[in-house]
Amino acid sequence: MPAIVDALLQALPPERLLSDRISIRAYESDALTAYRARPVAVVLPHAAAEVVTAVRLCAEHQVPFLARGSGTSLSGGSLPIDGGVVIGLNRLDRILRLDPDERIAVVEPGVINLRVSEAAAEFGLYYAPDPSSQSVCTIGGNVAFNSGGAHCLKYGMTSNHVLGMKVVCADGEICELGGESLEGLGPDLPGLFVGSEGLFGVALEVTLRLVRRAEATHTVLASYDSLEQAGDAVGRVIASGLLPGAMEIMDRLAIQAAEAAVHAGYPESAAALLLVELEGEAEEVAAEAEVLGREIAASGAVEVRVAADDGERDRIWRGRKGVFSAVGRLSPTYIVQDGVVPRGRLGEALAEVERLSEAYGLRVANVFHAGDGNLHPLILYEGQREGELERAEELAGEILRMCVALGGSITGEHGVGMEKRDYLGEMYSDVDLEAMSRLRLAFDPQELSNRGKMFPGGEAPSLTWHGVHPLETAGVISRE
Amino acid sequence: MTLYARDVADVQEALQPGTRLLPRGGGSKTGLSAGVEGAQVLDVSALTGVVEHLPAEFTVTVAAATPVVEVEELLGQSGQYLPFDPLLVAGGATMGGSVAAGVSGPGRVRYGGIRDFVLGVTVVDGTGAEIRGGGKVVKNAAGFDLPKLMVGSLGSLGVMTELTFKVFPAPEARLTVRAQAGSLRSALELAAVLYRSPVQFDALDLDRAGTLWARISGRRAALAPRAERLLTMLEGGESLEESEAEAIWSEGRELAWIGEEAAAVRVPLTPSRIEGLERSLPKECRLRVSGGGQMVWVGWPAMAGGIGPLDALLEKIDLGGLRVLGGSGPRLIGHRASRAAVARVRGALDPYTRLAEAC
Repeated sequence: MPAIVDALLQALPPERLLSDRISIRAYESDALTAYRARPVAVVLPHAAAEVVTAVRLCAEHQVPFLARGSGTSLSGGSLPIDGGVVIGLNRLDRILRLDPDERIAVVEPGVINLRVSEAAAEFGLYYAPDPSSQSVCTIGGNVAFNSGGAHCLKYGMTSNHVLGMKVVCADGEICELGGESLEGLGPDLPGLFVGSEGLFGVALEVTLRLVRRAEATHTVLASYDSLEQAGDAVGRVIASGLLPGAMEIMDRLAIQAAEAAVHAGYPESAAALLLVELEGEAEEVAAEAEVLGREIAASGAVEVRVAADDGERDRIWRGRKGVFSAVGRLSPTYIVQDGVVPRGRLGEALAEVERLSEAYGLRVANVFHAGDGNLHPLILYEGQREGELERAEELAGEILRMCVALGGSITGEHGVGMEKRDYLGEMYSDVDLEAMSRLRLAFDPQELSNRGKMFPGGEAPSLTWHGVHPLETAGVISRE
Repeated sequence: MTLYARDVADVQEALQPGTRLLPRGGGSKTGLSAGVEGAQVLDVSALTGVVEHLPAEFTVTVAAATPVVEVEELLGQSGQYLPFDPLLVAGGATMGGSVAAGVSGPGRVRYGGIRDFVLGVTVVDGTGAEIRGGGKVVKNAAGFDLPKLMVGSLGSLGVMTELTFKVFPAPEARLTVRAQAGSLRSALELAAVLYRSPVQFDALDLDRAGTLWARISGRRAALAPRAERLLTMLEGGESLEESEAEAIWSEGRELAWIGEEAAAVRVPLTPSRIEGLERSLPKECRLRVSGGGQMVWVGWPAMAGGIGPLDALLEKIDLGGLRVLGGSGPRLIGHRASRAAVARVRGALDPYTRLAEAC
């Protein structure tokens, strides 16, 4: 038995530890199913103190570890390290405090994103970041990867909603970062920690900001004869001075997939759909809706629908949020990309994606957060066909390089993880990466925590076809 | 002796062994940039100029010491603004100084503070390395979030040379209401009622005497009915003429109400801590609750012991403060959280301690 397993067994109740091959199988991969690695043990702590014990033992034994929640990372961020320890945080799922007057919630890292909003609902409050996997993904994972969602332009990503944290650094020291106020003092450490991809240590407690649910919501769905027209409509809306809560576009392939799966009532003949949502005080939304209506009417839309009630709004969103799992009906295997381009260059970017799709002979469905230029091309491939996964990866890489060349980013909300680490160097120079590495070493001198992620290079696990994530087949999660 | 930097090379040149530099832009926040013991000022005020404003992208990239007033003027031409409401704009504040101080104005309520709007940074760290972090698009999750780390760093982690910000379309119209609640406690209760309502404010300030000012903004057509609802909740409030409203918020932004003699100390907190702070402060101390109750500005009068008594008083009630204007002594006072983690970050970005510590 490896010394670390022995040490963990000594220090923790035995039922906290899984080390036989069968039990740890479920932890070998995450939502980026193309990768798989075998940990030596999985620890399932029930309390923060047990997390600290596990981290300290790993540090002492110089064994790399990965802290994970529900494993919905699309960038392979929660892929384990071969021979390392997995610390599964799902049982640390308590909301420790919810204060409606202060508008904060203090939660453990294993709390599921949507549960925070559910708990806050009776006070008219909610937790704003809404990744599509919000019914299963955990706050700890959201924090590590700075998760986004459909409402980022107006309300920001996870980092804009985390006020404070208690963390155990990878070397075992416990640090408090930030506090409960929206205003800080000294360097913004919660800001640094959110999105650090687990490379500094493990969050034990997270203080979240809650926001008041808007009084009124106005949801418009417009269909177009071309993607370009839908893109231009976004430009119009922006130029009109409106700041919608969400602006989403779907292309033909995505619409058809969503329609077949969810029956959202989308016009199936449309080449592109634009979804715009306004929210705020009732009077304000009414005034904004008038402006939006004028802009959409002038944008060449074929058909415009306004959600008459919450039921219709939910249906529209269900279609949108279900696109990724719906695409699974067209092809069981696909890669989801997450590049960002300046909004004004969306048209250019989409034309290039189309060209690449043809050149590689692989179908690409497009769904994106148009308001912030965050593309989610889905590259469909046949996993069992020799070399097709590699070609799909190559195509994905070309899209990433295009995003950087257009002045954007390789990731808007999924993080770099395992998947995009070789592209981080396209965005940042060696000097930049060296500085980031110094920061990493300041919290994790032995480079144990989530070793092998984000930074370019390092040993890569084998890239093979492993099919669809079981939760995805069950329709519980979707890749977005 | 003050050193002057005109470009990145000058900044790198200035970071010599044995130095302890304090970067300074416009020098508007006198408490932060003047008289820091043992530090040599590195004047970077020559690093000015707008690099790129892309109205359709909601982004603006500027050299770090570009005055806020210039940026606001430029954005205004495209109907945009900086929603975090930078401080001391008329006082000559720069964009980089605003980030380094990590302070936002009364208008931060609706969309967030400066940390929520900084997207990218180029910074020369203590080793002289010119590092870029973040990006130039509104959404980005690649690499560590160095731009956020710079917020509140007081120049202790590096000398910022360029910054990219997210900007928003400016509201078509604004309206401010005022109510006299009689005491701070009653004003806080009133504010809590407003916060439980669907009203979306972009600013909400209170003073020690119990005056409440609230501003709403948006489409002109919706403003009148929205104001009516707000006034009903306030019972006895009044809406202000535009010039009077502008004076109120400008006074808050410029910290003019503090007076020449006093030091301005900003205390971040949550609404439930405000009364406790108020009770601990001497009666002659002016204060203003700002940003919807997420910070209190304390006007600390010149007195024997300087800022010392306030330092002790804040420490006792577990709050911390930043001495932004006037006074002397430490810049960060009272309770200081996160010291261990700050030391780690300092060790990474300024291992030879060539920059003045944030203290």
